[in-house]
Amino acid sequence: MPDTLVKPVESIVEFLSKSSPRPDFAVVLGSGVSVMEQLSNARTYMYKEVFGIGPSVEGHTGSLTIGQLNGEKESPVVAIFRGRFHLYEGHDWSVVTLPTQVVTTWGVPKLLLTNAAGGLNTGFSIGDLMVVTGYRDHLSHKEDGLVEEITSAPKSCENEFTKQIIAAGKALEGESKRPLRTGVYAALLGPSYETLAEIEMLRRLKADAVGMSTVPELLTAQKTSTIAAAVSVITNVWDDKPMGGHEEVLEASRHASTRLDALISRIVTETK
Amino acid sequence: MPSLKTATRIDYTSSVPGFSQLKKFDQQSIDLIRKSSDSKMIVIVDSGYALPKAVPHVVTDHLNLTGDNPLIGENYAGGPRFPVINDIYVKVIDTLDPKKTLPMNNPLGNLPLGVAVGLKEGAVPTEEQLNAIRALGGDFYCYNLVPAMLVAAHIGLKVFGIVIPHGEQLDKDLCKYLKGE
Repeated sequence: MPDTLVKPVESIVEFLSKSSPRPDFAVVLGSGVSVMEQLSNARTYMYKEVFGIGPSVEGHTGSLTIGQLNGEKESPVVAIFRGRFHLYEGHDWSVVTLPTQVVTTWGVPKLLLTNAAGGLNTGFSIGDLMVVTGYRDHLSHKEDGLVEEITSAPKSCENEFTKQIIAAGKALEGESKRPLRTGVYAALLGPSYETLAEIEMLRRLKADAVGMSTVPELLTAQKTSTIAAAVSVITNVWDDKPMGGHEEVLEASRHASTRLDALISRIVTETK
Repeated sequence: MPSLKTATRIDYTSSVPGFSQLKKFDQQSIDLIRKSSDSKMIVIVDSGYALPKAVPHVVTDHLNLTGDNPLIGENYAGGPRFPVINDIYVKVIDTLDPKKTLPMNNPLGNLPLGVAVGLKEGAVPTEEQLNAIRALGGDFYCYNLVPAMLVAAHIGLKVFGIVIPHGEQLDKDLCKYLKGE
């Protein structure tokens, strides 16, 4: 679907404002992740209706739901973006960050980005949740490709929001019987998964998880009044065995969704 | 295991007779590779730089530092949207024809192995950057093999990669062997 069909951000915000209240909290969901299916007073829009284009990847629904956490009058309003646009689909940076631009332009105070990521940290297990405290940007390459990038250290993206998520996750650890992880997310272009040599390289570069998204959105939000954070669902843990591919990613995401749902509900409840 | 005899063969060094000669990785490479899915294996010969020894190396794996990927865009229907590429490079032992070749006579047997680093066409790393590349597991760099491998792996081909020092030629016996003769 060509990027020329994409609607301007201001007109998207205007369109949404006519039928939904401004959200207090926005969530972007990655491959196979599903949370907050039961919002109250909710309205759902298809991406094509909102943005002019829809996602092309299996596991990305391509819908936006805006509703309240529960039916109470003061209950926070939440926007759930189910699916995103990626550079590997051939979209440019402005399209990849479109949901984030809508969130920031609308003045939504908090944005939580989720993604499915491969676990590089050998201490991680499939289904773990990792709060992204740092990132590596292997997407916005310079003239010489990635040569310059690999000589730099991971960048921090810790803020008050990441601290809040970590605190909420720690409080839920007893319930879920799984530790909340923190770490560095490396964003690679894809769409091919990594070679074993690349996995080893990323480990040496201090990355804990690897995926194909999120960093453009974090960078976009950094320049605005919206405070953004990211949580990765660890969908496979890299070892010497070949991985199972996209189906494996979707399956692991579905299994972790319950714990992610509990985590997000707790954070949203604390928001207002 | 696919055979060298029926493999598709691409040469980016202009030095290997009997191979498809290509100047650099571009759409022509993509088209040629995508016509080759029946051959099961592709042999790719590329020029390399900063090799630890000035001899041809057999590629065991790669780091893609091109900052690009030829599979970006609408997915080509001949392969999956998200190719798994961590078991694509063919080992020397897998090129042996047990009916006619004893391992000790395999001319590939003496070649050193290494991890190829794919760089953007024309990028020349500084000495400091080369040290960083080596510290991250790369042994030498080249411009064409990595993107060609990605296109090949996407349609299910195994890849036998040879990188030879820039400006040098592949030994005649090796050329013959790589053609399955």
